[in-house]
Order: sequence, then structure tokens, then C-alpha cells
Amino acid sequence: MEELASVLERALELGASYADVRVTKSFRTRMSVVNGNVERVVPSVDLSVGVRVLYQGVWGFSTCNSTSKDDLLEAISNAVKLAKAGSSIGAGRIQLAKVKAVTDRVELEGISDSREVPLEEKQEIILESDKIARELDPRIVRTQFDYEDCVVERHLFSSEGGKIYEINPFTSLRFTITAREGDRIERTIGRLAASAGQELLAFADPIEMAQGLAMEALDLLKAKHPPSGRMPIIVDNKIAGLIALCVDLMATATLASVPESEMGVFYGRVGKQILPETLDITDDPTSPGLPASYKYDEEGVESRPMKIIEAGVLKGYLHSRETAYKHGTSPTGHARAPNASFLPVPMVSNAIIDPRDYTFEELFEDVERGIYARGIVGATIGRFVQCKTMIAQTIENGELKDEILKGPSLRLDLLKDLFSIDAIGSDYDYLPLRLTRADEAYSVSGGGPHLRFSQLEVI
Amino acid sequence: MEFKEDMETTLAGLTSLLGVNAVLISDREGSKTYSWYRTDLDKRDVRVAGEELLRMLQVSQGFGVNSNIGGLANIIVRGPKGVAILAPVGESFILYVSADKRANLALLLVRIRRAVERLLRMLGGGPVGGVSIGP
Repeated sequence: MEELASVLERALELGASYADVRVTKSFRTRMSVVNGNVERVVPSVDLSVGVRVLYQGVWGFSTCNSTSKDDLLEAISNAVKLAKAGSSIGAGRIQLAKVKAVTDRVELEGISDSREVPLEEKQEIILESDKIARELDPRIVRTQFDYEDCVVERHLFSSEGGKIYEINPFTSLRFTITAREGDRIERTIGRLAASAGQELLAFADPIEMAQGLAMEALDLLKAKHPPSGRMPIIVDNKIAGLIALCVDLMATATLASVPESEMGVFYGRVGKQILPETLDITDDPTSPGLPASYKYDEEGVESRPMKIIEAGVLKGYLHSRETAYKHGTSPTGHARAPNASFLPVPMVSNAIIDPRDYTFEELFEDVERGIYARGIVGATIGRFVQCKTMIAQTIENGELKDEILKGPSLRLDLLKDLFSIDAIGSDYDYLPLRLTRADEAYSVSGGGPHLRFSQLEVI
Repeated sequence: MEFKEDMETTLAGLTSLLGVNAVLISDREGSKTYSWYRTDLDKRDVRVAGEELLRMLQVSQGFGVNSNIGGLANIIVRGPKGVAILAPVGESFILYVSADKRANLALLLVRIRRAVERLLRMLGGGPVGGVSIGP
């Protein structure tokens, strides 16, 4: 693979001021189990190669599916041609923030390699989880488990001398449990995901999760509709995680540079108070195990935790080298791409609302009448977040009632409604999510403590 | 002999798993009730005794209560060469399994869970006579 670095010289000879070659090799296993039957097993290996050149302030980008020298030289030639075409119409303004060229090798340290685990072993764990859920009650009429593990080998070579090899693991298990009684059908959804191998299934306990989701689906068969209108609401870690992720997403430099867009509301607001003083939100790609965990981003910049919101003040945006130069700052290690076939762009990783000091019980103490909402079925995100929660309970006179409610739909204006957070829990959990944009998909996560809103709209 | 055979069948899911070196069952008095060692394993390499399992469980149960983690499902001790797991079997017994790095920890936990369910059916709450098989 080292010889790939040598083809970069060709880009410089053709007039490029900068070039990089990225290679991604993904070893993936996908498996679906429906009602105890293994319906689909797809092992795959994907290779993608992306060549990026900067010529007179314009990017040229070309991809191929081979690491042969001839194919790479052709890709470089194509990328330079593209950039030259762009620069001829006077488009070039791109410059890159300076970084130190790094040579490093990041291996799977202490994490099991999913490629070495027999398929039968993975299958047995999923089938056992499925069995536990189905055997709980005859009203559990459908179970579906979608499993995926992958090991991604990433190489980056840059004309500045950077040479990085990093291997990233990822494992995910999505549960969908359906219960039926008469005409009433209820469904619960859960997902475990981490930058890990089989450790995810060892420590996150899929059997326990399958059982819990099946019990919640059964509970929902008897659930009443929640009330609507504005009222005190306590949300769990997963809903808090979604909120963290939305704020974080709007702090990506590309979205924050488009003031006319609904997602561009953080435009020009760095250093200003935009959220309540009690809120701190961090984007952290360095947390081991969280779904978007990496040491180097797609431009070879070392990742670091980035405080997005500190005491309610917007501290900065998530940057690539290009956007960092434009904003006169340093790159933050957030240039990401689904694989080498895509250009790196600033993207969120793991968004975290910092926990405070309320215990679970204390959160409920001052609530006369309200709702405790848990889990997410689906959401539309942006400045206005509409979130269909999974399950809820009534709070009366500071006590959580046993009666189960259907998960209410919550509607939040992030810039207004977060000011009604009047208590922040001391706990923490995270929600793994897949963020899709056109044909790009990113593993991300949002996490945080339980949050109490004095008023929030239930629709 | 019947007990030994029943035990072998009950624990087959564990003993057949790649990397598993030893399976011990002790009662809550610290007496070893059953033990199995991989045939090529020198028994002296696994020196845990029933009393030690009992002590470990007692300390961990107290720690579990103080940590408010909702009781104790199992204890996992990971070392550079492998993993040792302790799981309570009802009120009366303790299951110990040690495995080297080849074992899939997730699958091991699934099989331990299954073994505990079977042992509960088989052993119930009362102590049984000691049986040992292996090299």
C-alpha cells in the first residue's frame, strides 16, 4: 500500500498544489433474523479509492475500485482535469488550513476482530435473543433482528507527507418487536451499536434488550393515548441524545454557512449565547466504543473532543481543513466520509449533553402533572425537531404512575424550547443513529442525561 | 454416574465452546460440586477453589448492592490471557467458567445464561454430592 504515496507526485507534476489518496476496505457481515428464521446473510468486502487534488483553488475528485498504479494514475489525471475545468471558469477560492503531516498506524487494540468470529457464533447470539422475545408471550407475533458488523481499513496518503493507516470496528444490532391483540398492533424498536466487535453483544446484553422491548410492546397493547398540548415533560437519554445530535449537526461548518437554510441558524453566532446556561454539548470522536469513534479524520487530522456549546454559548463549528481556513481557525478532526468514494465533509460524530446533578427521583419531585417519555420511533430533525417517542408514563404529584401511555409526538424549536429545560439528570446513555443524506450514510450517536422541560408541546 | 452424565449434558454448551478451559460448580458452603477441565489443560493452571468463588461472589454482591446496579447477574474478570466468569445459580450454587482469548465472550455469556437456567432446573436449591471429571 505504501507505493500509493508515490503516485501523488504525478498530481503535483500536473500542477496540483495538494493531493491525497484515500483507500477504504470494508469487511462486512449483514444478517437478518425474522421470527427465528435466518432470512438473509450477506458477507461482503468493498474496496473504494478516492483521489482528491487541489488545483488553483478548485477541488478535483475521482474514484476507482483498484489500487493498481495504472488505475490510480488515471484517477489522478481525471481529478486534475476536472479541477482545471473548474478553475478555467474562475471558481477557485479553496485553501486548506495548515496541519502537521502525520505518519501513524492505528490497530484494533484490545477489540475483537469480527472477521475472525465464525458466522454461526454471531447467529447463535441473535437467535437466542429472538427466542427469548418470542417465548415471552404468544401476543409477540413478529420479531426482526438486523445485525451488521464491519471492520474498515482506511489508508490516507497526502502530498504533504501524511501516511495514516487506521482500522475501525463497528457492530450494530437493530431489534423490531411487534405485539398484537385483536386489532391492536404495537411495535417497539431498539438498536445497539458501537465501535467494537463482539464486545457489543457481550456487554450491551442483546438478550436483555430483546426481552425489554418485547415487554414494552406488550405494555403498549394496553396503553392509552397521551394528552396533547403544552405540559411538563421529562425525556430519557435517547431523546436527549437526539436533541444533542440536532444541535451538533447545526454546528457543522457547512450547514452553519448557509444562513438562508433552516439548518443554518448558527450562522454568525459563534461566541453568542444561543442556549440556556445550564447546557454544555460536546462532539467527541475520541470516546472509545461510541459509534463514531476514530483517531484520525478523513484528512489525517487527529480527532479531539470539541465543546460546541459551553454554558449555552456557541463555541465554534465542526471543521474540515477547507472550512477551517475559510473561518480563520484550526481543523477540528471532523472531516468524514462514508468511504473513500466520497469527498470528506465536516460531519458530527458523537454528540453529548453533559450530565448535571439531578438523580432520577429528584427529576420527578416537582412535577405536579406531566409526562415521562422514553425511546424514539422516528424523528424529523433540524431547528424544529418532531419526534415520535416510543412509550410514556404519567407523572402525578411528583410520582411516576404505572399506567403506560402510547409514546407522544414531541415538537421542539431548539432555539426556544431548550430554554425551558429546568433540570438535568446525572445519568448518561446514548442513542446510536445512522445519518443519511442522499446516498451518504454516517454512523453517529447522540447521548446525554434525562432532561426535564417545564413546558413542551405534545402533538 | 447418572448425575455426572446429566451434568455433562447440561454443560455441553459451555464445554464445547472454543477457548473454554474450565467449568466449576460450587455450593454456597464453598464445596466443589462439579468440575470439568479441558483435556489438554494442566489442572494446576486453574487453582481457584470453591471458597474463593464464594468469597468473590459475596464481595461482588455487596458491591453490586452499593453500586445500585440491580443485583448481580454475573462477574466478568478479564485478563491479558483470557476471561473468568462467575454466575450465581439460584441461592445455592455458583458457576465458574474460565476461557482463553479464543472464546467469543458474547457467545460465552449467552451459553452461561442457558446453562444457569438448566442448572436451576436440575439442581434446584439443595446441595448435591461432589463429582469431578477431566484429566
